[in-house]
Parts: sequence; structure tokens; C-alpha cells
Amino acid sequence: MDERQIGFLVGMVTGILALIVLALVQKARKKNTWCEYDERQLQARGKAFQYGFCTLLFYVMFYGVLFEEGEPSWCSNMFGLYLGIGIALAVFGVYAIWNDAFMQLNQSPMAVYLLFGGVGGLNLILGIGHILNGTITENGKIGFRGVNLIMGTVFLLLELVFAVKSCMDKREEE
Amino acid sequence: MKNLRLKSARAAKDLSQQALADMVGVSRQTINAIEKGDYNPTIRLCIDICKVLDKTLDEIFWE
Repeated sequence: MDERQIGFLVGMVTGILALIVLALVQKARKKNTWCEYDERQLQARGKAFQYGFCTLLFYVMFYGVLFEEGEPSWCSNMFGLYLGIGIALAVFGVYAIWNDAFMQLNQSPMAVYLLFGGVGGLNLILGIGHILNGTITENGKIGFRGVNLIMGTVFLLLELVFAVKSCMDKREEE
Repeated sequence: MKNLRLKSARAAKDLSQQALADMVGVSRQTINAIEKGDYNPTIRLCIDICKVLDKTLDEIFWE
């Protein structure tokens, strides 16, 4: 393993551990509060997961068939697979938001705006930085650094859908 | 099919969709979906709604 791979692995493990710790803290804090999603939201989220999962499944299937012999001519395999994850995430997010099943019952919309805007904006800035520095390509193909662009685009799309849906809901509210 | 009986029972109690939703522990959009006929609630939620509105299941949900 070279330095880059070790760095990538350490970064990934740290990220996963941070997510587990955050989830445990969240669970401990919410132990005695009312349920997070209502029955209609749980049903809609189930459908959203289903559509997201199927999207990823078909993407990986087609990707495997199309690029069995080698990488695509314009990007690395890593970028290609993350593109599928990004598309599946977008399908899940858009469906869940559009069916009012993304936010928990007691969650503030501002937290969602901040999350989507923060993650999306940061990733997009990093992605644009990689383009300007010329580090987005490796051997003439879009490499792993292009993942920032994918995630930035996905989260900003979710922010946009969330904003449109919130406006529609406000208009519909009595 | 729209559930106009739920809407009128809620209005008779002078409750907004949000107020009713808070009282039965669901989102406002869920109450809206039930009124518009886009979502069929479980019997548990039907009972909770009826209790809040002082109505029977027949009066609100039976067609």
C-alpha cells in the first residue's frame, strides 16, 4: 500500500467512526422523545430507499457490462462508481423530500438547509478548486478528486428541491 | 377520494392541520394527505384522530 492508499483508508475509517459516534450520541439524546417519523413518512422512506437501491443496482449492472474490459475513456473506475452512488443518493433524497419524508417530525428545516448547503457548498468549492488547479484529472481522466463535484451537485440539488417543496407547502398551509 | 368529513370535523373543533397533527403525533403533511385521500391511515392513527375530534370511526372514516 502506498501513502495515498493509506491516507484514503484512514480517512474513510475516521469518517465511518465519526458517523457511528454521531449516530450513537443522537440515539442517546432522543431516547425519551416521540417517534422520529410518522407512519406515512416511514412508508415513503421505504419507497425512497427502494428506488435509490434499484437505481444503484442497475447502474452497477450497466457499468459492469459496459466497462468489463477496462475503465471508461473519460474517468477512473473510482469516479464512475461514486457517480452511481451520487445518482442513487439523489433519487432517494428527491423522492423522500418530495413526499415530505426527509425531515423528522421535530426537526427544524433550518438544520436541513444548513446541512445540504454546507456539505454541498464545501464539496463544490473543493471540486472547482481541483478543476482550477488541474488536479481533477489523473492520466487524462477524471479521478477520485472529481467525487467532490458529484457530492456538491447532489447536495445542492437536494437543497433546491427542499426549497421548492417548502415553498409549495407554505402556500398549501391553511 | 377526499375525506371531507375529517376536514369538516377538524374545522368544527377549530383546529388547524398542524394542531391536529401535533395532537396525534404525525406531520401536517400526513393530515393533509389523509384529507386529500392520498394516504390511507392505519387503524391506530384513525383511532387517535377520532379521539381528538370526539368522533367515532364510522363518522370520519366509514364510507
